[in-house]
Amino acid sequence: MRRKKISMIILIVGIAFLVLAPILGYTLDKSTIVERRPATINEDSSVGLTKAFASGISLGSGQQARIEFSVYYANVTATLKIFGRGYYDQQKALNNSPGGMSGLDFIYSQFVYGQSPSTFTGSASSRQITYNGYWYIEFAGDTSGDYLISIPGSYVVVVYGDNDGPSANTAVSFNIVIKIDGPGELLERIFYYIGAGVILVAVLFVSFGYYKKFKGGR
Amino acid sequence: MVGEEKGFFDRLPLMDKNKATKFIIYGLVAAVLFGLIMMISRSVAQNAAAWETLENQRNEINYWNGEYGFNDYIKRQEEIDEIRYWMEWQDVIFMNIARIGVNVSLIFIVIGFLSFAVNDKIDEKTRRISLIIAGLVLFVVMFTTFFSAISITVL
Repeated sequence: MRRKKISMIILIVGIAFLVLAPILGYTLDKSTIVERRPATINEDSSVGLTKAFASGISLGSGQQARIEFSVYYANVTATLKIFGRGYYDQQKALNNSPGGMSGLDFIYSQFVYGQSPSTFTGSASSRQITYNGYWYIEFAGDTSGDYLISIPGSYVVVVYGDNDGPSANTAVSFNIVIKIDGPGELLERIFYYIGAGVILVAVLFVSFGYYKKFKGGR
Repeated sequence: MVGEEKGFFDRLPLMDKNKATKFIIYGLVAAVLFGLIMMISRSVAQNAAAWETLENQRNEINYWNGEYGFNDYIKRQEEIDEIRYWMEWQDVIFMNIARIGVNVSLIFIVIGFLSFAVNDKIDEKTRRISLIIAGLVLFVVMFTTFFSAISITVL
């Protein structure tokens, strides 16, 4: 009776791990670092880096950042670039114009139904939106063609822009969401392995019980 | 010697009717369970390509919906391939485990029927039939052990 209870508990624990695995995987898949709709900067940002929007991201090996960058505001032209932390800090100290700085390559996508994904994907070092537009950007350090190259390190996402409305209007508004890979995938795998292992232990435990029973001649 | 514990094989030919029946029933249940594992495993492997087609379509739709970008789409595609290969490879693992299980279960059944056959408390006719069944099952065990390409096709 006690053996039955123990095997039942082990089995339930195993099933709990298996059930939790995809839930953890889904919920912790991506961590949102920045979500601003809108973020507003001044048009001085196109003159000096200190006035530009900047958000640091730290990427590990195989980790990638996803950036949703959009503009839906009158007279606004916004440009997004990604720099290595060292280069950014150096240029920021000099307050150089971000327009003259070369950013790192990233992948941008447009989602066109019925078309092959590769057709509407490209690699670029900057993306500019005038008045209306949306880009889905993936970044991992560098690119090769339309594919990401993972280079772990510290990076800065920079947005600067202009407002070509009346001279009194200097605000540059845009929407930005930055997400990086979370621990979800790793945890999901670990939970699956533990769950399967625990169930295997339960099966062995039950089998051993039957073997003992049989050997005892009962 | 008095009180000496007999080993597993020493007890086999002396099994009473009840124990022999238990052997046959346990053997049958185990054989059916392992057979079920075999069928499920084979079915999963055979339908891996259909699953892959479905997942690729879902991957494309998710991409078109803007749920993830091109590189995540490619990554998912690679994951789908990996799972598909696993779905095919698990067949090798589970089929072999199940094959061992079925054969062991059949040996239990053979022992059960042999015990009937050597039991002089059972009538001659039943003993003879038991011996024939034991022989037939043994024949199947031998064939499935030494020849791997035996299959029964149900149309």
